[in-house]
Amino acid sequence: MAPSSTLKLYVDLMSQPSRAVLLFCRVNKIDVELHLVNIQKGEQKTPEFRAINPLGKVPCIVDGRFKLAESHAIMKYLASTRPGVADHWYPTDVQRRAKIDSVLDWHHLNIRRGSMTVVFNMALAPVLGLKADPRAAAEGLAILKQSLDVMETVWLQEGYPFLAGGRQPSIADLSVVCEIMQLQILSNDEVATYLSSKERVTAWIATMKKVTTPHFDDVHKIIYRVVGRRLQETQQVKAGTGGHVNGENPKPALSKL
Amino acid sequence: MAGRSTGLKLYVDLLSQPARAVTIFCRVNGIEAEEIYVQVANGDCRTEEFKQINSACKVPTIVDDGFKLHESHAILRYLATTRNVADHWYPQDPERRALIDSVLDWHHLNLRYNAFLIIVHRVISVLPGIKKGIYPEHNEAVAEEAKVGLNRALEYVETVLLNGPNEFLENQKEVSIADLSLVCEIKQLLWLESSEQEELLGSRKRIQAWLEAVEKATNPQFNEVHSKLYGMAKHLQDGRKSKEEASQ
Repeated sequence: MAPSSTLKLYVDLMSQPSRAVLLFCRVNKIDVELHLVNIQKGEQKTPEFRAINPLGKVPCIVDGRFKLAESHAIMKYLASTRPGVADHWYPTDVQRRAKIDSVLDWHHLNIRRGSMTVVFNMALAPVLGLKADPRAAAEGLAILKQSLDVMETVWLQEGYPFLAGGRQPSIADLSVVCEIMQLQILSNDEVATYLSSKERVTAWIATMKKVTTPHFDDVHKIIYRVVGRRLQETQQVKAGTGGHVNGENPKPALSKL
Repeated sequence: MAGRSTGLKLYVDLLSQPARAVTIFCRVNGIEAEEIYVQVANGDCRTEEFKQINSACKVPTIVDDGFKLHESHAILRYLATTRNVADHWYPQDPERRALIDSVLDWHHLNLRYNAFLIIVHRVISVLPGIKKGIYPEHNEAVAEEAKVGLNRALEYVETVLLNGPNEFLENQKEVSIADLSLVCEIKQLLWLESSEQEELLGSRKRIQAWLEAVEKATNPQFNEVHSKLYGMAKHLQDGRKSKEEASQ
């Protein structure tokens, strides 16, 4: 089914699933008309955007007259309809595909839920002027740690560089690595230490960057800027040149990106 | 565990929503499978024996001639593809398939997440004799938050996913694996107090019609697989009634 016009892709690159879809398109040289939707500014709630996606979520695509939301569904759809996409991204082999589906399904209530809860309560809530919930943060942290354990011992196996016994990357790898990259915006030693203690996960992140270069860094530019800015502010505070009250940790100023 | 070493084995707990979806799918489609019952509340999924089947300790899990798979949606897709079932369950057409995939994805953090939490915190965590460490500790605030999320999810089903002349999700003419998954989740709400069920579902007419349509498309197997759940629902209602009568 050939599309009659360029694929429209609606994303906010602060959003992990948005990055996964864009990364997939870039790596597979799928032409997209990129539309940036700024979630922090509430652009996903406008009537114009809701006409495209009633849920007001990114990412979503418009392919001719067909509209679709949910990053995993989008990547599967594109893998199936775009002839240039190599088989390993979403294999036609039934058992390989099933394993990848399993990771993608597991992802939502495990790594995504853990990461989202931790990032929201520990980093984003204060910046967005919303209430952080310490109980939820603690629960999110527990889920995140457990999910990283499962990544290390179940999804990543000796001799297989990619998730679920993959010798080549799949859409599951893209989805999960973009989720884990979100943790970079935390200035939380406990999370950073726990993550770096997972050898297979750490090696796999490096491998994913390598196999999707240069697009990985392009797509994650916004995250690197947040991290860079935070480091700069931390250094300023240490040097006594930052303007922060009561010695509080400086927060990433997302609106200035 | 005794049983054939080949063929399809389903490790399920019929009190678990995703396990029911997989079981109904197999029975309705005449897929030969050995159903092996596991009790989550009893800690059966955490035994060393079960970890050999699935080290992530979850149901449902299948073993298909040695091929192990967990996550109900992945299982449903795999069985739909390998067992030659009717196309409507998981259509070949890329757009229809994508819409069903989209619903299945949305489900996890929306309907499932909130329905699971409200059942745990309103019902399971306050059951006498419930084993510690399997489910979260009772927390009324979480239940309230889950109710808000659940209402939002049900509203989305009512006004968007069922917004079509056809009976099934995403305006499909026939039942799909997405319908089965979501309906099994909603059935778990039978464990709530009647007043709360009425609040959540009473005014949602499209959802009610859709529940009936899915049951019709998958009965008698739907009711057979739900009999344990229905039994528990009756037990809970009877218990609440006796408590009410005793306090009068």
